[in-house]
Amino acid sequence: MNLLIRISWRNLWRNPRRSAILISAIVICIFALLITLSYINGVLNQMVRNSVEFHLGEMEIYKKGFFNDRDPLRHITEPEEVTAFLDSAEGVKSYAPRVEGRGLISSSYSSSGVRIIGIEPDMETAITLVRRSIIKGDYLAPGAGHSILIGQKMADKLKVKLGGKIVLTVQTINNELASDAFRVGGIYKTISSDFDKYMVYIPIESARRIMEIERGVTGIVLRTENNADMTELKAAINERFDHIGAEALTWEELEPLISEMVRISKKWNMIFFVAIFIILSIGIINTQNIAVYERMHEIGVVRAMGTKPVFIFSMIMLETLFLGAVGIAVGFLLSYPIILWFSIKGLSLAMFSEGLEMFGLGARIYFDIEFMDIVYSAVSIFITAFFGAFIPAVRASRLEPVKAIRYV
Amino acid sequence: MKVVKTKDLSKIYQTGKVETAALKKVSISLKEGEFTSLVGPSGSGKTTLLNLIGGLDTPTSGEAYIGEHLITGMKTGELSDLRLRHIGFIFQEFNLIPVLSALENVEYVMLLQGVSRGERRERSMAILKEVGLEGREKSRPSELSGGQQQRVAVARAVVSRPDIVLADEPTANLDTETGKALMEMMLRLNDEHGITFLLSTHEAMVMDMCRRVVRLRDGVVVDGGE
Repeated sequence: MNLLIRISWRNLWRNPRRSAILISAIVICIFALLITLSYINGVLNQMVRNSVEFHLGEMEIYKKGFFNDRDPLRHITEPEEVTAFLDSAEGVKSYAPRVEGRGLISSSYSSSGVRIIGIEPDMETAITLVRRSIIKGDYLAPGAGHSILIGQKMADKLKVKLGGKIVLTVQTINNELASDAFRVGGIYKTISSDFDKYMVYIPIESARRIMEIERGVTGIVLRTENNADMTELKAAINERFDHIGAEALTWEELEPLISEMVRISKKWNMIFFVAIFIILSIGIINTQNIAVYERMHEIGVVRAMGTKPVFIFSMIMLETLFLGAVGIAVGFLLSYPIILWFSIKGLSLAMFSEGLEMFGLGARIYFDIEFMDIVYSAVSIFITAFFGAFIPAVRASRLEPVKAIRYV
Repeated sequence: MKVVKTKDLSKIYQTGKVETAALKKVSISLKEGEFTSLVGPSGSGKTTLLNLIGGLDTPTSGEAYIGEHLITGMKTGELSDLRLRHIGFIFQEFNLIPVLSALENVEYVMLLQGVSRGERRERSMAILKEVGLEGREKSRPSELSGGQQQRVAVARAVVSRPDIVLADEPTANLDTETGKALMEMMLRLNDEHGITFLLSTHEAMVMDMCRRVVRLRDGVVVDGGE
């Protein structure tokens, strides 16, 4: 084994230029792979995180059917039973009740369709980043019955300023229209232009009053621990509260567009990477074939001395795997500092910020890579090197000594 | 005791529809400790006969024995094993593994044979000293002269005490003086260790130094076969 390793390793450096070219190809491959992967991970994670942190939470509990029609008639009248369970449920970090509905927001200048979210201000702080997104005025104070938070885009559209008056019109649970006047208490700005154009926040009591909901909530938003088993938690909630018609929906179900984008992106990544690996494996086959041809006589001599074909096969395979290992190590050493830098400082895409806002992304993309991504990339390169070397290695091992010796 | 024996060994090469008989019913035998040269002009069948005896090529008909082993009809793996344990090879050129030192080249066959590290090292150092390469153990082939490289090749061929050493024109790429020195060294190893040598050559000097000569012409033994 020692001999095999020694010969294979030294063979690598017999033609340093050729080995350097192949190692460079592997370095470029692993570099492109890790940088692309960490960038895409950064984009996808940011989309998911923004969606979860600005509104959805990781999971929401609704009365069945509410998610589809947002009819406040479908509300949970006895939320205490649910919250008591959530207080002791494993994996639940925090939760906040909401009363939601659709309606119309009007100023003296204009009006617009809107989603009205009635919140418990203190509890909501532990769930979403609305409070931290206030750029003018104040967050909702407990008991601030006629104060409303609107997005910057909405404020621009309605031409209202801080302290300005607006009117909300909603459908009540009694199927009637009701209106109430509010003063703009705060203006927020998130990285999602859609969000800023569409969501307004009022105290939960005000939402109940305007929608004529005597008691209860339309939904409860959850944040979970990092290692929480979402499937198990969802199943537990659904089983336990089926009798009151409540169901839990994960963020993937609440925002299927994003979860589908994540899924499609991963598939595209796979296609892109397979294409890279195919090109790399062709390069390896070509290079190792030349290496075998160059050493044909030498292989003949060692075969004549009694070296078994499996030794020759292993030698060529090991040489390629060594090349792969060196390429992976150099590629990793080159790419990791860049990934680390952009994971801390972020990659500025300010010039595309408007377009990015449409996708719920900020102007800075923070690279993100997991240990297993690096492991999978390295293993993929090794597998590619293995398949790339396989044909030349088989050819070398099958050389007939007498023919190989004649080859000079 | 006969170390090599061939019986009606023939080899026909086929190129398209053209058949060329390289060896025609060659029967020779070599006793233990003999130092024999195969001589003859180019195309007389010397290398073909060495290849067949060494199990590197398969005959069209006839039989070849190394000691008691009938090698014609052996499978590839069996032939590899036979070559590893019973035959030493010296080729004309590009003989050594370029990435290994002189010492490692000599140890190579013993490593494949599974000889222990200590014994391997001891025997290799001793044989390198015997062929006059003491102090050059760590040199790579590219750092050695042609004559020194062939000495390493001889050391590697004999170090595992094979039944026979087959040498295909071992002096062809050396100048006369170096070639003569190499021959003297092989003769000394033959004298001192009783190793059987069969070498092919068309050089008169080499032929004159050999104790037995088998002459080939057009694939037929014309003199010294038995």
